[in-house]
Amino acid sequence: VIYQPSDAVDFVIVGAGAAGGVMSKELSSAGFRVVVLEQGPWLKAADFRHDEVSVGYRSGLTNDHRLQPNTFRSSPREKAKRQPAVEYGRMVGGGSVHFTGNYWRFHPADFRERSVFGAVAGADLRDWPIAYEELEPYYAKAEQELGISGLGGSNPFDGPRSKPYPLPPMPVKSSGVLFERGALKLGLHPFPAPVAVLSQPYRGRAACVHCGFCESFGCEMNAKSSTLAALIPAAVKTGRCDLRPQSYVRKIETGKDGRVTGVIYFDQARREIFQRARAVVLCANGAETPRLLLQSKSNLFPQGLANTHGNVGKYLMFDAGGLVLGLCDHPVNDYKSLVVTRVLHDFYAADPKRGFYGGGGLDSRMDYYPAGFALAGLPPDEPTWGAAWKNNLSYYYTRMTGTLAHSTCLAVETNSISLDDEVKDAWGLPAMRVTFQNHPDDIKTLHFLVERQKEILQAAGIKKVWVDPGSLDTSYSRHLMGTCRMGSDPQLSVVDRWNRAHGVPNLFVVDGSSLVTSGRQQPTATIQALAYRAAEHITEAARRGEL
Amino acid sequence: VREGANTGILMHMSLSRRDWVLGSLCWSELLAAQPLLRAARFVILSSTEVAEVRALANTILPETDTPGAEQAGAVDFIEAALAGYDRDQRELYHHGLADVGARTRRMFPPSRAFADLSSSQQTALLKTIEKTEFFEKLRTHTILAYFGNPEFGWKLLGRDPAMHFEPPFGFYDAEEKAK
Repeated sequence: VIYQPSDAVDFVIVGAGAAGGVMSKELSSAGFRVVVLEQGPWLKAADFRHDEVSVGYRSGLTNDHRLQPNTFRSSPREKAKRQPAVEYGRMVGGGSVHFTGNYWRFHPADFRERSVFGAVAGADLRDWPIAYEELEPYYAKAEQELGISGLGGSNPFDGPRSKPYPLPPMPVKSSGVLFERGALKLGLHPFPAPVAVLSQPYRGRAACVHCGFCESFGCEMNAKSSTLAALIPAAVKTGRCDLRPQSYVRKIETGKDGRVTGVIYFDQARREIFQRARAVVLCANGAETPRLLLQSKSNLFPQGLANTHGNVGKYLMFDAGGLVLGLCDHPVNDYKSLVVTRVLHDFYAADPKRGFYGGGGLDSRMDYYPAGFALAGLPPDEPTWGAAWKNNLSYYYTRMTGTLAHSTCLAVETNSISLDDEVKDAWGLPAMRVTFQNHPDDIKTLHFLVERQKEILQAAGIKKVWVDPGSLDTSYSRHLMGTCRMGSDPQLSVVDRWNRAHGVPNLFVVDGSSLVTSGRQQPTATIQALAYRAAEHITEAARRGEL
Repeated sequence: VREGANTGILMHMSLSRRDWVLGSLCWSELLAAQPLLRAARFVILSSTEVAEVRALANTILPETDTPGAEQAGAVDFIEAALAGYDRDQRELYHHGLADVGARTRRMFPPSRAFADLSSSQQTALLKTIEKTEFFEKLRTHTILAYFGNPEFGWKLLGRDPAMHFEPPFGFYDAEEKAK
């Protein structure tokens, strides 16, 4: 279906990723006329290749910093320099296409950590305005709709579940077996990883054949449960979803009454088009969403749309977590199948006894593709070129295992997305400026977890264990959260408990930007659960004529 | 919009997984990454630079009992990269290579080119530049040329080029299953 730009459709959805894909399917299925604007291309399963050079080093599926540079500084006192700091899936399906597929629910305590743990100096730790119990039905819905493999009840630290996972866990790999052996020896509680990968055929999609190109790649057989594979086809099939790839939104327009009237975007030929809409749902990710709001200045919103109290872009949260690797006596062959098969949440809860806020989940993975491995995968005390290096590469690659941590990032007001008027992107728009420096507790958590990771590998009987130095760099992130945080008080937050912008009744923000806390990373399940919940609310509100 | 390429084969539930696996065998060619590049002629790199880059890449990734940078066409990959995606790095190469020439003349007179040095001289010289941005880029490009290509990199690492596997995947999950 093709709608005319002058035709005021019911909804414009900006971004067709993890959240936008959910909104597209839900709102078009509910009978609304929807236009979805996605800045990246609309690739199909057969377009995806096992080409590490393209995907890993030439932004084949992600934002290209040569076209859309960001600038970076660690504090507002510095002048920002061009330095890639954020990465997101830039295509229909967004990050859900190229993500690893870890699909963790937040724990009940994640929504009220301020009450449970208390205030943290130098940070703005807050409770969410909603509880786990309110989100639980939508986690269950997301798991069913997308197709998640896992074993309900196997993680003793998880909140209650209303439904089992629709698919059994994926077969365990050697890295999972070793992780589990070490963890059990230490009295910990490893469990089969819940993942957005099909262990069996599901709703017309075939089961995974363990090709080993999950993280960073698109799945060439639709076995990864991206919105591209699982939801977009059904949205398009409704006949009410006009999905336009290569459409880069530069401004959300508002009328004299303070309501949004549509969006202005560049099409593939860089023509400016104004698409009218009765309401706008912003799903452009935790970095591009605040950037777009800040670009959407008007007489009523001189600081940017929904930014009357100056909160848009603040409290940016990044991902963090060290990678600990080990050399085994026998082949592990971690390059086969999906990335992660075992996880543990024993260190997830923040514990005041540690002396700092924070926690994390650990998973089993070696985490290197061939070229990345040759670049940086060997122990740091080994040579990095020449014949000896080459011999080591050949010996280590199939024998390595590891564990990656996913740890907390505290919300700090000065960590932010803002506009950099001195640098322009290829469309002439102000570049995104990223200001980010971890709270000291984030770094303490990172190192605390690294020690636990070493213990697990050592307990599994692995003699040579080392920390991957590159993994300790926290100035670059794929998990972009917190920049339009959810809250009840319009002075302190950007969206309300239903993801509706405070003060702009027909604008919704549904993506990682509304997250109040970082959980323990792996935000996709929570982003999608929030999207299902918001979609239901938006549908009801629209039917009551409240938009 | 790139559309229409999907064969739709996977959407048919009647197709068993085994059938898909068999069918996918012929996809290996299609899915394989980075075919070996051979530059018809060099435009970005001068003939002197081509010889220097070739010798440098071969020092980073030498031929041993397995192929090295030479066989994987690293210099051709680098020419293609500098002509395309990495065009903004041409100056880094031109300056870096000039610096290697200057070091050659200084460290090993009367030699004038890195390519003319003995293997041990080449190694000694490379050690003096291994912290430079130029070396990092050269090393990265050499690695991408070799390890992005299943024919060389995957073979060296022992990565089975099949595009589908069945458990057990490794020694330890096989051992666990046998328990």
